[in-house]
Amino acid sequence: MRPAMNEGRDRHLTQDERELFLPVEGTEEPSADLRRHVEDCERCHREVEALRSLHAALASLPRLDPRPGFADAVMARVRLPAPWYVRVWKTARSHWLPLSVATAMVAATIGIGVWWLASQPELTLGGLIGFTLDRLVALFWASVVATGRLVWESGLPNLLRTVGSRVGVTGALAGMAAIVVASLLTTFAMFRLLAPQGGAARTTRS
Amino acid sequence: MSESERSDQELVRLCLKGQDRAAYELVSRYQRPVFSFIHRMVRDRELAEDLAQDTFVRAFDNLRKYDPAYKFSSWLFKVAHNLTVDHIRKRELDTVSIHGAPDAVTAERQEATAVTLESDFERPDELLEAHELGEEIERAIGSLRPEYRTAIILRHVEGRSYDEISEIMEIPLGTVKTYIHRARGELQETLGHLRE
Repeated sequence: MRPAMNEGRDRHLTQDERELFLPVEGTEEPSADLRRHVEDCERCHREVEALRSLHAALASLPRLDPRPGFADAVMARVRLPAPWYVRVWKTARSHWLPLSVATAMVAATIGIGVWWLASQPELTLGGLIGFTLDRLVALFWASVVATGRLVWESGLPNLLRTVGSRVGVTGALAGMAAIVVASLLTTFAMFRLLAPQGGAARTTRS
Repeated sequence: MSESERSDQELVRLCLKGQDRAAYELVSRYQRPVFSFIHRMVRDRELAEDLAQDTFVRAFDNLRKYDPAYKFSSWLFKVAHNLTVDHIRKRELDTVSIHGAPDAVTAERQEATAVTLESDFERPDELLEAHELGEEIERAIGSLRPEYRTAIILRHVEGRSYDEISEIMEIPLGTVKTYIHRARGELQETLGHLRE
């Protein structure tokens, strides 16, 4: 009969130490001291054998196969998080006909416009740019004036003054904080919207 | 270099560039372990396939969150574990048999949910014996609490280290050890007669 404990070791194996006797990849080998103990100690020997036997039974369970076509079914649902230029290219390839028609129409419009401009003898390129810039500046100032008039006529400055006198500093700070939070949430929501979305509808398996 | 020769990390990098072939290779590489793991958790073939599909789809959707410093397979198992446990919590599934899902009452449903096992046995009696033994072990695993079941499958069937299991299940190392210790105790009690 084996002694309960071998010399030089005053305790039985811990769970971690018993684990070393399992043939699992990446597990380090048990030391000579531990091996000697397991040979000598009946209790530890029994426990290690029981553990090995359980491991052998569980490790012998087969890997199960999904049905053929599983990978294809997965791929039909997967949308990879590709960079924007890859997504644009893929979209362009899958919708080439409407995109070609649209591109052709835009190109034709620009072409006709350029041809018409070129056929006007009194028009020079510098003159055209200057005319466009003048119109843009005039449009900007007209918008500023119109907005100012609208605000003034709506009584908004009076309203703000009244609200400001009643709300005080704390309210103003709280309002600013609320605006900051709302801005952050809006930015976050925009990122969520622009991020690539996953899988379309589930594909039916055969 | 063909896709099958590339490491998981390389394939992930290619997936992030939008290469479908790299994603297909990852699915082909891990479909069996992921499906096996989920099937052993839920014991229903159709459900296991749905959850395995969801696992891959969710993994690819969140591929940017994957840290290449860790094993891709561990990360994938983590996704599979979360999905499966969520489902089990919702449905409180019981487990049973490779002959079909617990709720399979008709022969058609049993056939649809049963698993076909590949076998190296040539003699029918050997095959039957192994089948019955495997069935008994599967049933014993199925009788464990879901968290014990996950830990024991990952440790002994999938051969994962304690650290990996802790990472996959998102629980402390000490808890993993406790789960495995208790699960082993229950299994040894249930399967004790097999050793005689």
